Amino acid sequence: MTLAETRALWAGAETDGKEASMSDAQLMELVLNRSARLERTLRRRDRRELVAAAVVLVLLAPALVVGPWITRAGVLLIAAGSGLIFMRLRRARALPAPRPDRPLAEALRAEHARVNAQVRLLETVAWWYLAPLAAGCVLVVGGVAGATLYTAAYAAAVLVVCAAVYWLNRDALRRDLRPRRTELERQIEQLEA
Amino acid sequence: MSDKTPLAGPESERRFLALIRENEARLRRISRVYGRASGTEDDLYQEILVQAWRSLGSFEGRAAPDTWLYRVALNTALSHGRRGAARREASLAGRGGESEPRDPAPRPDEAMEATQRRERLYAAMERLGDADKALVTLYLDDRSYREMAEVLGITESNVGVKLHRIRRRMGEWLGEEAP
Repeated sequence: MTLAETRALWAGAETDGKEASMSDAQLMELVLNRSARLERTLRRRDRRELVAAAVVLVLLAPALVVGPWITRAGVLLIAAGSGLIFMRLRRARALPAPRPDRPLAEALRAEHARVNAQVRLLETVAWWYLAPLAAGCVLVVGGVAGATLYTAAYAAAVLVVCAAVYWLNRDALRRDLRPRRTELERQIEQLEA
Repeated sequence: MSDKTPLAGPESERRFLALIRENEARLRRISRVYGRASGTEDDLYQEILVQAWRSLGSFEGRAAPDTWLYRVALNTALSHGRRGAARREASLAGRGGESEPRDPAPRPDEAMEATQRRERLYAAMERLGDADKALVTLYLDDRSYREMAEVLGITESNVGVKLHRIRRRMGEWLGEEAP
């Protein structure tokens, strides 16, 4: 097959049976709907995190005023932990978003930086996400219930929940983020090697 | 991908539609190259349209419209492929993303040899890595080395070296003279 033949063959695949294209109105409706859906998803995610942090703080705030000192320490630890979570997630998202209108190599590197930041976050989730919240919860309850069987059982339950959340994060790393990062590295290497 | 949305309005929509209509065949071909194997061609095409719309506001006119649209379409296609890669259980045969070609069995209702040859061309392209597919797509669309380099963000000499290698491989796969 000569170059001219290959290009003619390629050009002949104009629409490959998709001639029944959408009308202008249909096309714009599709684009606007999908775009709006994407915007809503992004805003919902940001709102959810803000609301979660606010709810935690509002629920625990009274304990800061009237609780035993251990409970108050626990509340402060949870508040600090929530703040840390919020800041770390925002910092990871503050990395420049890959712009699809930029050259492929540049967009791939930007996406790689973001995915890498997410991988690092999830790899260290035990200390910046789980530990402060878990310790704070146990202190809150321990301060009120004292060194009792109830507190011990509560601490065990918190540990189980933490283990489950940790496992879910590792699973997300294994199934999604690491394969994506590997694929990005492969694509960057294909382009630039 | 981009979080921006252009200011909606008749002028933006007119510009967008004109750009899409002029390049519809090209976008369809890109969707086919990247979406054929997973059967997500139509979904990818729609995703490209959405990303083009969302990026319209950032089109500053520094790049030619063609270059701009190629970047949007190919970046979207590569991103689409990565989501597929995360879902796949095994890596592709350890050959840097290349896969065994599906044997395009001739469809009974297709008499024309050109259609079958086109299917073989698509099947050969499926064996390439995603980044190499982008290069071949631009090459078959008769883009200059300079335009290819601008879309891909690599040097022109790198374009030449890679094309030479890819054309040789595709020639072997197609079992004919290298294109």
